[in-house]
Amino acid sequence: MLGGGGDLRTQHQFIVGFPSEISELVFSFVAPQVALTCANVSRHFKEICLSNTLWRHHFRRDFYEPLDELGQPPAVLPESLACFTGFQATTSRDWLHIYAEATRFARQVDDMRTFWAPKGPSWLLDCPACLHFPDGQTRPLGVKLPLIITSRDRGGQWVHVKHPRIKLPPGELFVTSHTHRTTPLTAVAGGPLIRPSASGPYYPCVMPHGASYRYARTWPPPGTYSWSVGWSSVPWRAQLEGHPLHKDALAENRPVHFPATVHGWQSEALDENAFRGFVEFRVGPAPGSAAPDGPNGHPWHVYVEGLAQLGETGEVWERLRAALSVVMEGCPHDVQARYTELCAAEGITRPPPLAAELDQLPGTLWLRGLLHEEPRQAALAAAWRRYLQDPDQAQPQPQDPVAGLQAASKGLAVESPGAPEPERPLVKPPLPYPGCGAARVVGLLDVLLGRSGLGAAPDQPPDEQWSPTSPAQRALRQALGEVQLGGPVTVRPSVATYVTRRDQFGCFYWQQPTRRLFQCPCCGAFVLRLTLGAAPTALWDPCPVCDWAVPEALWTAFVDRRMAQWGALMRLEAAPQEPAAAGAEGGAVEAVEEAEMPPVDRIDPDLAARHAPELAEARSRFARSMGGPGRPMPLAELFLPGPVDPETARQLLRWCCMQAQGPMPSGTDPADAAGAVDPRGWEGWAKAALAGGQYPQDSQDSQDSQDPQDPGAWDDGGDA
Amino acid sequence: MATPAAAAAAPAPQLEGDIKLVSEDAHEFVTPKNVAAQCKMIKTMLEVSEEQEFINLPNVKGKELEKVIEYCRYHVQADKPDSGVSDNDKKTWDENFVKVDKETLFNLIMAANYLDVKSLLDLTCATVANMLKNKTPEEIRREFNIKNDLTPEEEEEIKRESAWLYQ
Repeated sequence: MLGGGGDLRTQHQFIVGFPSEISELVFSFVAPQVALTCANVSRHFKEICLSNTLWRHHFRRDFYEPLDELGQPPAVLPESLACFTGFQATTSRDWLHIYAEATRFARQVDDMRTFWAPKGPSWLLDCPACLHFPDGQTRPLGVKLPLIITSRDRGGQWVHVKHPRIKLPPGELFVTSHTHRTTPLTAVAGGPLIRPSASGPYYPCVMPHGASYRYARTWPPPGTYSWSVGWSSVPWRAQLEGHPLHKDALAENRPVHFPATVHGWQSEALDENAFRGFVEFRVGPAPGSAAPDGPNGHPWHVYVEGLAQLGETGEVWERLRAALSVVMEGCPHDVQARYTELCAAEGITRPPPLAAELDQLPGTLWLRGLLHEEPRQAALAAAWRRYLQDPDQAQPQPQDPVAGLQAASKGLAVESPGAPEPERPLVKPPLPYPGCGAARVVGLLDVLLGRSGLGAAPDQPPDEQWSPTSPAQRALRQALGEVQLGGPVTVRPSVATYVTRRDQFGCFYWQQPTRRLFQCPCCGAFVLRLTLGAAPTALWDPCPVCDWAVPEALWTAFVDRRMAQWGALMRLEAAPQEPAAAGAEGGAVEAVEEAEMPPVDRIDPDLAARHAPELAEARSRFARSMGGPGRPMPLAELFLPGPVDPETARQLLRWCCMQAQGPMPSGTDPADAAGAVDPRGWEGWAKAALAGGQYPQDSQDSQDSQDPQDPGAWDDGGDA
Repeated sequence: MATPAAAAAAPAPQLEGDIKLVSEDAHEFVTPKNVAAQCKMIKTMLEVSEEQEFINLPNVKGKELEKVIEYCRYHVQADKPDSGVSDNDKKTWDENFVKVDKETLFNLIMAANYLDVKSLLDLTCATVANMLKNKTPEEIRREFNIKNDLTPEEEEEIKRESAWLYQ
């Protein structure tokens, strides 16, 4: 018995005279606030009231018992809770702060039962990279990044997952595991922190695999683990599959490098049926198969759910394994580099291009088409098989994908071989920075600057390109006029540009790189990125200043860009005969400024009537490609004001027509009138594409890839 | 008062006959074995040797032992399915049962702990916890006759560290 001095019984020195376990039992019946009040009574009270066991008890009572009321199985208090976030809860203060965070979070939840009921025993805590315990005030990102940390309800084993987006200090780990319960996804999807909605802001999260997907009822197989890592509403998922090395890492309390692969796709419209078409690629021991050794000597294998929809067999998935298997080490560029390395190890010297964002992996693109574009299913399935049989022939190839990927992984431009690498000193703006915050990337500006924009004039001396007085810089500053910049603006082209691409439905189209200014949510640096096509290649690109991946905003930018192009199209309709004003370098900005770009509501009615059928068809197809069938694109929605020179607009119109696989409206192309069609130029390529013929190839194509007139460097594969 | 621990005692073992319980101060209580077995410690001893006629309980005084036996006897009867005693009735009885002076309550906690009567231990600890509520540290000191040995710096530190709970 602990003594408080004197005759305890006569002095009625409650608590002081109790054994510690009884004292803690006493305080377990009071609210944490009362326990903290009691901590001010005496040193002994303080010792008891702030003890770990007491606070474990509070955790159990306040955060687990509600589950019991809801019919959930009683949870076992995870003794290893201390391991999450790499945060050693060895003191009562640690526990208090865990409790505080959970409480703070709970207060933000309108309906506690909504929160607790579906999820089982779990916590939603701030990402420790954004909120540093214990003061709760260090939020360098200015945004809460909720993270689900879920205990395993069986076995009690804990696993560690690195945050998929955020670089953690050594030892900073997240903990999660699967429970096969339902839907932390909906619990994470909305704001302020939780709203079961598909339309809320997107928060990165680590969620237990299967928690939100119905198909997961049978997954993963006993003895394996898996996780879904991704955003709540973006149409991709990275699927990380458990691996034996987890256990070693767990025992050693070190980060786990997942042999992981990619991934799945979900409907962009999150609804009851959102996950029907989800196809996943998994790494792990395939049931009943003799799996070859994978990285680190562990068995691994790729197999896919949902194969029945495709009717394919194991050989296909062997290909996929080679194509898609990566080791996820937390950072996208690591994934890319690792992907390249693994492909090389597999003997694949020319792997299918792994786009910077996971969703753009060829397999998923094609699968998307297969699964969700029924009218094209047969053709695409055939194309898909051709691709699998011989990716080199069926898939457009950049000049040097390996080098390109390596360069992309460094945040550099993937340009034609021999192109000078733009190495420029980058100014890291001071923090705090206006607009700094992962959810507040302010650089979603349309910087359609015609042909004189940054990175698009390879013959312009680099120094002049980057000079503050250069036309490009001036144009950029003009475009930024509405943004309150708090520091120096540093721009650099950072992303590869392919002039031609194939979209997710197998269509080729031409695309001029779109220049967009982004602000890194981590360091605040403004970075000009070149994005293009349906594949926002910058989606996962790291910030060249701080190496931070900025995916979310770029995704938004991708959508905006397409709208911007439609806006350009509309303007072109109004002024088809506008002379190209951006021909001369250095004069483009001024030309853009002077150009009268009628807004969309001032389209020449005669012109519109003349091209009504073509335009309607193009618009319809384009709208379908953006929003799916049944989602017409309102004209107003397409319009995005911004300076676009007529030449650019003309080319955009072509792109839109190609995108729509429809005939180009006649009369909009001066080349038509002149009858001068270069078979190796844009017109020739476009006509050949429309006719279903072979596209010209030329070794110079890649070097011309910055030329918006150049259709591109790869052949078609015949399946568009 | 919240009485989360006032749950029913464990099902009575099928023990027949009586047992004599001898307190620290030599008070003797002849108790049905199935009542005494509500105390896990006694139950264990009975399971080891059903033939013994008495059990010495050197850490429990007669006054508290009598209370413990009263508690166990009531719950053995009240917890029977056909007893007709409602949960509210049991709760009321428990609340009245712990309306004792602090010394008795203190000793009762110790006895319940020693005899391993979990429901009684929970009940008495919850009673003490209830006495802590809505009191300032100074009031708690007065209530329980506790000397403040915290330095002003320590007090300030505690206040500072716990500020987040009231945000």
